[in-house]
Order: sequence, then C-alpha cells, then structure tokens
Amino acid sequence: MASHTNITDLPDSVFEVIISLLPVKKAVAICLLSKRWSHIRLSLPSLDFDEFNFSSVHCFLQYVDAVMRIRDDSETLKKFHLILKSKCSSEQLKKINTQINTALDSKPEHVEIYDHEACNIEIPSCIFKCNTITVLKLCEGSGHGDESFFC
Amino acid sequence: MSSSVEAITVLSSDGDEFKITVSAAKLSKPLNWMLEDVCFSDDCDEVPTIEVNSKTLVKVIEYCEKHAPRANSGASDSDAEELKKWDIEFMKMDVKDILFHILMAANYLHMEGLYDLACQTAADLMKGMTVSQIRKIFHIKNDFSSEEQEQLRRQHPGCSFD
Repeated sequence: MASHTNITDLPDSVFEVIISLLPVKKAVAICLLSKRWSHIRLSLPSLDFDEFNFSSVHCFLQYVDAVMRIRDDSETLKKFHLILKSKCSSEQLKKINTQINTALDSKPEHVEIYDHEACNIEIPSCIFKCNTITVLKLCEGSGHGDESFFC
Repeated sequence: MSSSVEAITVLSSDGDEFKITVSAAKLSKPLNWMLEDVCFSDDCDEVPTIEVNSKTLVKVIEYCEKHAPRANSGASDSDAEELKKWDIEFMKMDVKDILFHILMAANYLHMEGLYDLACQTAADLMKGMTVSQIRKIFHIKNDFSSEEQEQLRRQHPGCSFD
C-alpha cells in the first residue's frame, strides 16, 4: 500500500459501499466531484430520498426524477427510501407514484416510504407482490407517534 | 494443519515484526486460512508478510485483539454495548492519516466487522462536510470540461463544481 492513502485511492467497490451509506443528494454530489466516480451515480445501490434536504417539494421531486431517469435499471437496487414532508398536489402525487413504480422495477430488497403530511401517496399494489422485498415500511403522519406502519 | 501456538509473528510491509494472537488472527479470513495451512510452532521460521504498513497494522491488531474474545465465544448484550463504545473511540483517528489505510487493510484482510466500521466512519465524516470541503480536504481535482459540467448541471439542477 502507498504510504499515504486518500479517498481517491480506494477501489470503486469500496467507494460505492461508503457512498451507499449517504443520502442520495450527497452521494450524487460526491460522485460528481470527479470523472472517475461520475458513472457510479448511475448505479447507486441505495437511494435515500429525503425532502428535508431540499428547499421545496418542487425541487425535491425534480431531483428524484433526475436521479431515477438516469439510473441504470439493470443495476440492483437494494434500498429505496422516500421521505416526503410537504403536502403535494395530485399531479405531484402522480409523479411520486411513477417513481415508486420505477423503483419497484429494479426489484428492491428494502423499501421505506414516509409521508409526513399524510397526503395519501398512492402505493402501487404490486409492492405487495414484489417478492424481492424483505423489509417494507409505509408510514403516514408527523413522525411523533401517530404514524401508522402498514407492514 | 492447525496451529499449536497461541500467537504468531507477522511482518508489516515496512518490515517490522508484530505479534498477534491466533484467536485475533482468525478474524481475518486470509490469516485464518494461513493458520490452517501452516504449522506454526515456537521454532518455526515462517514469518508471513502482511501488505499493510506498520502504523496501520498496529491499529488492525489492536482491533482484532479487542474483538477476538467476542467473535470466538459470543458475548452478552452489555459486552456488545461496551464494544460498540470502544469502536467509536477506536475510530477517532486522524482521517487523512490513517482511516483509508484501515479501510484498505480491512478489505485486503477480509475483516468484515472492521470494514463495515471504517466504511460507516468514512460516510459519517462526509455527511458532516459540504461537497466543496470534501473536494478541498481530499484534494479532488475537478476534471470535467465546461461542456461536461453544463450537461451535468442540466441533469442534476443545483449540482456544484466549485
């Protein structure tokens, strides 16, 4: 090993493990620090979308859309987390439903969807038939004890 | 053939000798295979080299010796809790200096526990930094052309190349 090891010296396989432990916004931003890592954003194994990291629901959904659109859906998706904190319009809810469907196409193992304002995200029924899922958490409410876990 | 000694001597990539107990060495898959294949005894001349520098190897051995009793015989919840606290203190190290060495060593030595711990430490560290801090601290050069940056900005509104 070299006498001085930097993050840039790590093999991609190790870098990917570290990146997958970060919220997706940070993970993508770090991938875009250098050409060497930029392709990793296309195959992130863990997508943790948290609206609390965005200034508005509009920006948030635009971001989710951007990441899901470029994602290579042949790559394994281990985790899909979606945390929504704002009230959404019916059009926005439709977009969210599309993104959840896209995520389910990648056969995730771990799915968590939090809807803090209980705006009735339409959960695709195929989520209950997706046999790759081992952990499923669907939660509505403020997160202060009145949430309901369906699974 | 299994080992008949309690500790073995290993060489670091810098050529320094270190002692590691057999039970601690078993935390590493390659070292464990080596222990199974080679008969180590007190008059054994065999001193395997581990391609990890001395400074890192000291930390790796420290981790192994601490975790070996639990790995070999199981532990109570209070022991597990104590070990968790110990891990946190253990990882309070000069990041630029040694964290990535530890990570590479854990990867090379197939040590799952230390690898997961080091990955989580690296992720937590980056969680607490802005992207421009990460670029600066780790000397990551922006090697995108202005056209590529423009294209990436269209794909990811708000991404920064500063």
